[in-house]
Amino acid sequence: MANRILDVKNLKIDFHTYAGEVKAIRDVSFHLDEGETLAIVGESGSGKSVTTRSIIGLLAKNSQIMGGQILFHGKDLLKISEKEWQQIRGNQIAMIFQDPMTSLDPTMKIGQQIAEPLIKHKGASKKEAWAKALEMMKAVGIPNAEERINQYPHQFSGGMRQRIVIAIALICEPEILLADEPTTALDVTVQAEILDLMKDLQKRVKTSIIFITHDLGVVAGMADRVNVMYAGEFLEKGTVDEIFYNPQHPYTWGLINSMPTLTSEKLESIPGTPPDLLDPPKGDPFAPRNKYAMKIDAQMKPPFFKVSETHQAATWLLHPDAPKVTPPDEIVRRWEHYKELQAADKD
Amino acid sequence: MAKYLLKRIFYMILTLFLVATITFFLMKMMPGSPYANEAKMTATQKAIMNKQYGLDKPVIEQYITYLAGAAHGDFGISFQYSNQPVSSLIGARLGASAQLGLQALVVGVILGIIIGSIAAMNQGTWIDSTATIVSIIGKSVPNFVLAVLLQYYIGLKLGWFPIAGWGEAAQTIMPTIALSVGPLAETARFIRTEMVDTLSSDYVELGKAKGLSRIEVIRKHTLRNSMIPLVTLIGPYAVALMTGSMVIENIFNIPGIGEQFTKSILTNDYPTIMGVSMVYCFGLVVILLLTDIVYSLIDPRIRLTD
Amino acid sequence: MDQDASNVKITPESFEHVEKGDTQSAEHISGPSLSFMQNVWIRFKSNKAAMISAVIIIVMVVIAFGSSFWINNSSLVKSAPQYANLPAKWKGFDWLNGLNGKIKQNGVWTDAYASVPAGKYFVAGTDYLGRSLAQRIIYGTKISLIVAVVAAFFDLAIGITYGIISGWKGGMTDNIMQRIIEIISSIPTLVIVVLMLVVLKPGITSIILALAISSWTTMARQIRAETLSLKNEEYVLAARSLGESTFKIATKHLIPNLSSIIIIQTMYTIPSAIFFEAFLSFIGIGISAPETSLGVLLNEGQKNFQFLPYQMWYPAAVLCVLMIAFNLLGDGLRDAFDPKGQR
Repeated sequence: MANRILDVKNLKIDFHTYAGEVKAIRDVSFHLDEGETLAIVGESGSGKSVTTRSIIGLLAKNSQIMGGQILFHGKDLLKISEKEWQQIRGNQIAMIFQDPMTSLDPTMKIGQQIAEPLIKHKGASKKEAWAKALEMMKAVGIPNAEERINQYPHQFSGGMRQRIVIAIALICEPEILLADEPTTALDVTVQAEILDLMKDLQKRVKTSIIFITHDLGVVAGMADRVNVMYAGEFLEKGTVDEIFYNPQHPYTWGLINSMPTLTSEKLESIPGTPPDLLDPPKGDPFAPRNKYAMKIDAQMKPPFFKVSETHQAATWLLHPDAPKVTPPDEIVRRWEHYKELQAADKD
Repeated sequence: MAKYLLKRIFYMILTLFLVATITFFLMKMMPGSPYANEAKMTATQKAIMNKQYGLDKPVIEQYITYLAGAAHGDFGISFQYSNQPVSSLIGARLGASAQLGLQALVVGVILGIIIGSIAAMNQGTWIDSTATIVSIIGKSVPNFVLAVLLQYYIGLKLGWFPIAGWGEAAQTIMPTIALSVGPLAETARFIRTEMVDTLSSDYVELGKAKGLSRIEVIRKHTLRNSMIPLVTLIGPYAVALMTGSMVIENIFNIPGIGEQFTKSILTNDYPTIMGVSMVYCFGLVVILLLTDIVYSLIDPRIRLTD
Repeated sequence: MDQDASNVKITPESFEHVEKGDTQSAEHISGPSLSFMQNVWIRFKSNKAAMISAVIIIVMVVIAFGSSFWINNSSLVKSAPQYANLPAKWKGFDWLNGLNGKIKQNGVWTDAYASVPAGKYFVAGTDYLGRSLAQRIIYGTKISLIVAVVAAFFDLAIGITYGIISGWKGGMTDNIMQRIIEIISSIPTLVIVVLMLVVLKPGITSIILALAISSWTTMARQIRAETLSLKNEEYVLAARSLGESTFKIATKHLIPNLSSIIIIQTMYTIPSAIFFEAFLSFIGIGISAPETSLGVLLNEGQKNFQFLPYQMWYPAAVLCVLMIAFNLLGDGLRDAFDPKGQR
């Protein structure tokens, strides 16, 4: 039985802007179990970053929690003080950001930057902390670590810097690692290395990862479970196999369809843009762009319909009275593949 | 590094050489006589005086003599004080100006850093607005106006500090305040902008994500990054202080180079004008070189790349 | 979940397919799109300090130059010793010390207008020659502004031309031009200005020239830097590959993008020039009597400061307001053109 370490319930977050209240997160619920990797997938502006930042308490000043709970070891993180946050950040919950070129202090030695969390949280002496930092540098695969520990960020390449950022995040062996598009700014080959590194370290340190990305390819290699986010809420949640081979929400179809495959003749995209969250739509937020939309999609938000124990999708298409629609060819193909997988499993 | 230094020193010498040349020929072109009582002098007297000052030699020779002298700090004899070499005039006064300038610089920069940081840390609040207003006023009110006000209201009326003169520590206070306001205002603005910039940077976000408190992040990361570029402002400050000293020394009767400069301009004492110009020039050039070197030493991005 | 949902009933019609319209409407961006200058204006407008400063400057300019008809050199040369050193007196302000013609002598407020015929009011008092200080201040402001603006204009012209040529040509030309700037920058502005004044003899023209020649390097440097980066922008490359002449590229593409730097830098050059002129005149090597400028007024006012402080206070106040206004305006423009550095 998996150990649940994080439980987010009905999270709602608004941003106060000069143009009005932006309803960035509009009722989001999910959980994270020990040792697993959860991927949150979505377009820019869907709310992925805001969700993760709320888990580490680094929301912008003009944000306001409108409701919900974030339960970590039974404590609601939305109710703790800043001081308590400082003990959790970098220690039990860590985060890595997108751009390695700007994530590090340009005038401080790398060794010091990696050692910092250890000194702060575990009371280590400078000597001990630097020794552990050296270990971490080796663990993340930085060559010549003994010399390079005294160097500065500008002397490292982008990929190396991201490794350092990972080292910083993992040095206190946190329970949760939040990764906000950590490979988006890197070359594809470097990307693969970093992802492998993360998977490897995850096993060693026994961290659970919440991985944000807009790249489904990355998801396929990293995640155990996937939540698809759009316009501030989840549309579909499931295991990685279920999402990739048995997607149910038209938005997920669109995402998968737009991934180029070896046999694609034409690149598909989802026409249109996400809705304005100053005045969010009433029903299914994807309805205006949804080829398969029905009248009710614009009127009422669909609840989550259960597809399996681990798979749910918020689409009226799963309502018993809804007509059967034929998804795009690629999706049909995957559904076939899924049926084969299911059959194989049963043996 | 050495190559860079050599190049800079070459330009230094080139600049000084150009200034010496230009000032020399400009002064030679000037009408007016070095002698206070020229009209009353006889031809023989004039000839003797000319010989004494080397003014009977051809211009080119005078020029070379001048250059040679200037390289040693010898700028000839003052027109105003006809038996004093310019170099001793300047030498006697260098200490006062240097002390005043240095005091003003230190006070201005340190206070500026404090005010600027406080403003940045309280961005958008009344503290920030107040600091900005103080800064704007400091930059816009001419330091000589402030000097007169200080002298009259605080010196004369309140009697807190001596209103003029130089020699005791108390006498340096008001001039230092008046002269430091410029660098103070500029530093405060600069530091505030730099810190606001660094406070919104990604590495500060990461610092917070490590669990550092706001004070710790500021102390360990933003301060150092914000102050490093400050070094580049020292050169312009030096120029402002030179300019300001002319007036401040006048108002407070301080026997410095600035006061001498003013006097020599008003009395057409060309050798002294040239001498002081060269001294200012030399000072600036050296300061620019030093700040460049210091900057390249304290910013690891520069120190460890070339 | 939506509270509105409760009154929506699910009927078989609910599941009818809705035909999707064309995607244009889905990609419609609501809200008008504004040009660059419109955006700048909106940002500038929201900066109250900068707007007020702009108004103050306009008012001062109008007064200073509009007064040219009746305040000119000839009217100011007339001295009236019988009215010498009078403090300010405003009609109807008998009750307010400072505006009622009384001055504090030995701790007692005495009426300085005692020997002055009734009905004679001086808004800002008079100077040591009996001339209206208000008139002199207005005239002096005009002169200071003329000096500053003309000097700034030359500074601009030299700096922009130098900067564009240096940045556009690049290579050896740029190198040499930059070395020249480096050398000039190593000479304190003060030295350049003083040397020029000594040679040209103090006066309005020589100050303008001295200021212009000593301060163009900052503008040149900034223009050059911006030109260098613009040169490599793709739209410039596109224009060149389409065969547009250099001059046309300069005017159509470069100058509009440089305009923000030019405007902002000018707004800072003017108070710098005003300060320098006031400074030089105050020491006595700038503009001097019988000409008038704010610096001259400060110089004269300082001499009487102990007993007649208003003679320095009033021109000082005008000078400070002018400087503060220009600085705030410059800041406001800079923030409006480039809001990245803003809060």
